[in-house]
Amino acid sequence: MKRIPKPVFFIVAVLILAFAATAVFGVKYYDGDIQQTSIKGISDIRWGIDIRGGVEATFKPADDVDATDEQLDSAKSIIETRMVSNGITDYELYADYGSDRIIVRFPWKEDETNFDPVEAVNELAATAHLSFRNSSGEELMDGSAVASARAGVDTSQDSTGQYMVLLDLNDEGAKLFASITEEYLKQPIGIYMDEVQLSNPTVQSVISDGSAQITGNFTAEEAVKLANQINGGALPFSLETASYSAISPTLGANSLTAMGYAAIIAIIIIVLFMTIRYRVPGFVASIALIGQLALSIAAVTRYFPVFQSFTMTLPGIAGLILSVGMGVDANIITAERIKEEFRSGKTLDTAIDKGTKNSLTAIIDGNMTVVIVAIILMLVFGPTNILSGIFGQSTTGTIYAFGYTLLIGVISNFIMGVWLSRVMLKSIVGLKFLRKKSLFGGAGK
Amino acid sequence: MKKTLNFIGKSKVFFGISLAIILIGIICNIIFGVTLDIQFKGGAIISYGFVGEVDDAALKSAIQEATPGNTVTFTISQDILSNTEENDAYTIAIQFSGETAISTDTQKTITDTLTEKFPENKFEYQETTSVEASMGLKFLLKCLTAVAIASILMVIYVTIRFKRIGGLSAGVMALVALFHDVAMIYFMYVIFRMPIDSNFIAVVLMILGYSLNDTIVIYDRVREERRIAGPKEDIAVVFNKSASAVMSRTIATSVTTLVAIGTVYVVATIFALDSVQGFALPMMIGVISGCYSSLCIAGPLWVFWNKRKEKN
Repeated sequence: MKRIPKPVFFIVAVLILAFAATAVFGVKYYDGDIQQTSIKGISDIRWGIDIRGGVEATFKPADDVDATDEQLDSAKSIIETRMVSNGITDYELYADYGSDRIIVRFPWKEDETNFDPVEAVNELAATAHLSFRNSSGEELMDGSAVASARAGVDTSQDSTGQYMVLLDLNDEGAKLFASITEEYLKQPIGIYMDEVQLSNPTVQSVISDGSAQITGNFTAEEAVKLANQINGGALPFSLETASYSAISPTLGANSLTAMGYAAIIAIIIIVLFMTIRYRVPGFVASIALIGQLALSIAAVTRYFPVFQSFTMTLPGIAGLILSVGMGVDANIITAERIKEEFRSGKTLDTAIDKGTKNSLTAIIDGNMTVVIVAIILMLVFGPTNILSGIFGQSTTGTIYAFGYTLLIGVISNFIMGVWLSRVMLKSIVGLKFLRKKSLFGGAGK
Repeated sequence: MKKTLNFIGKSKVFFGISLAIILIGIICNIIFGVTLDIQFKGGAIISYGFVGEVDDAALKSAIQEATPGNTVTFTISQDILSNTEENDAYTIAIQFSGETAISTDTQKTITDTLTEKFPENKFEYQETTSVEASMGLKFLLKCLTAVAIASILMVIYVTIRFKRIGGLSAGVMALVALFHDVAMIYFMYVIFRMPIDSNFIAVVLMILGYSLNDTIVIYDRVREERRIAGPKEDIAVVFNKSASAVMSRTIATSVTTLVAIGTVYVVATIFALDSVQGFALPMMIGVISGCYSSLCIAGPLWVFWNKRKEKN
């Protein structure tokens, strides 16, 4: 066996535990009286509506306008865009074409303690009448002229990289806008959502190709927000809240604390069980298991900025439990295999070498099938929605969460429970005082 | 050396036990039927919280009066967490079956009626769930299709990876074991009268992964033992040897998982968290079933299939 240097065990173990501590508790500091979060911990997890409660609302076109399916779809996509841009990813959104309704469900928003559901619903439904008006308030053009709007960065030669909103008009809109910009050259044209002025840009030149730029000291956020609002306003009808309800938390904050206790007790039991039954390999497995859990938690809390904001639901917890089960199993398979090798008379080093090698195929095959399940679920219930052609857009984020935590958990398992666990095991075996077969699951002398 | 257990010899007993449980489940299913959650079935539930005693009949007629033309049923459950010293707190869930979601007007009428007619009970609006029937059904079908696709792909994976020990037979028998486990969870829902909701789908998915992993660990061992023993060796003997070798692993893993989920269940019971309880219990049943089906159902069936093939 190629033995790994002794200090490696301590370095890996300390790194894993340090990582776990930051992933669980986060890293927070006080800037004056305000708490700043530099690394998110468990307390920053956004819980799904099935755990913490949330909002459900039904929208319909105002004044009983008969919306076409396409219009309903675009209204839906606007709500969807707004949800995503607000950091809400775990929502359910249904369009009911028969009765022209859009039903939306979403959990409490991240970082918000005093969440007002009515305000949130109104914010989403604010797809009201968009208009372009001159300085005396006369309407020149409405949202139906707009094809799309998006935020961008000014890349022209003498620019300073300012954020701006790019406005694309449809053919009719382009013609109309050309004459408007000609008439109101060097004058301001207000962009209004209902009676609220969103922006009041000044016409810099005649725009005849139907593609305008709105500039004006925007931050990236402001530019995105304005583009979203303009998109929402391009619909020929406004959305009205037909009904809304705040779903009271089914578990509530206390219950989350209770589940926290359950998790801690379960982890302690597993660690004790593994260490007592399998001695050194069990102890090493326990460290790896904590690392695996920490990695999964990190993926859920946005410890690493590359991960999307994610909502934890009951199915998400099920995915986590399954992946932890797979992680414990991988280590049990290995430890049992090492025991067997001892039984057939192998030496300490050979037993560990053979045991880890012979158990690998079972672990890989077992985990690969679980990966298949996870990926299918993410494809079906995630943003790609592969079956939507057959079953319509009845997405539900909660099952997507299962696939997500499961996939992340299995990947974490390969990193921690398989790779680092083995590195640690092959390193710790070099410590003289531990070099007894009985400490690795072999029979005593 | 460890003792070799005779799994194949006792397979009739195992099949008998499973068939008996499935039979009991089917009978219960016929007697009790199965309830689908609003999520799948469509319809609406409006919940109110209230305190103190209330006359059921008066309540029913008041609600029925407020919503003519709707079939209304309701269930009242005690809300332990909100009990006060003077009065017990309750939650009433009013259920409307029907094709469409209920209107806000209806909801308002009910709220007004309840607050007017029973002022001392302090009815307080809690929540509404309403789903159109066709949307719910589509969602259910989508869930089932996803499960089916995942199952087929898993069988294909097993067939390819275990070509040396019969490939397709290994895949199909693994699938039979999965059906067995899903049936167990389903009957668990039927017997405990729990409505089938998206948590059911999540538990089923978890157990599919868990049980298949159990089966694969055994297959992996059979593949290895077969390589050592050579093709001449009786596969029943090979299987018994392999299953016995992985027994301690299977038990250790299952016990660990059971203890972990059991802890969640106990804590959920102490804190009266219904949704978590209803989630942990079927999961525990699934873990036991998954461990059992791999050793006692998938394995022996695989042995019989291959023995028959050898004869022909």
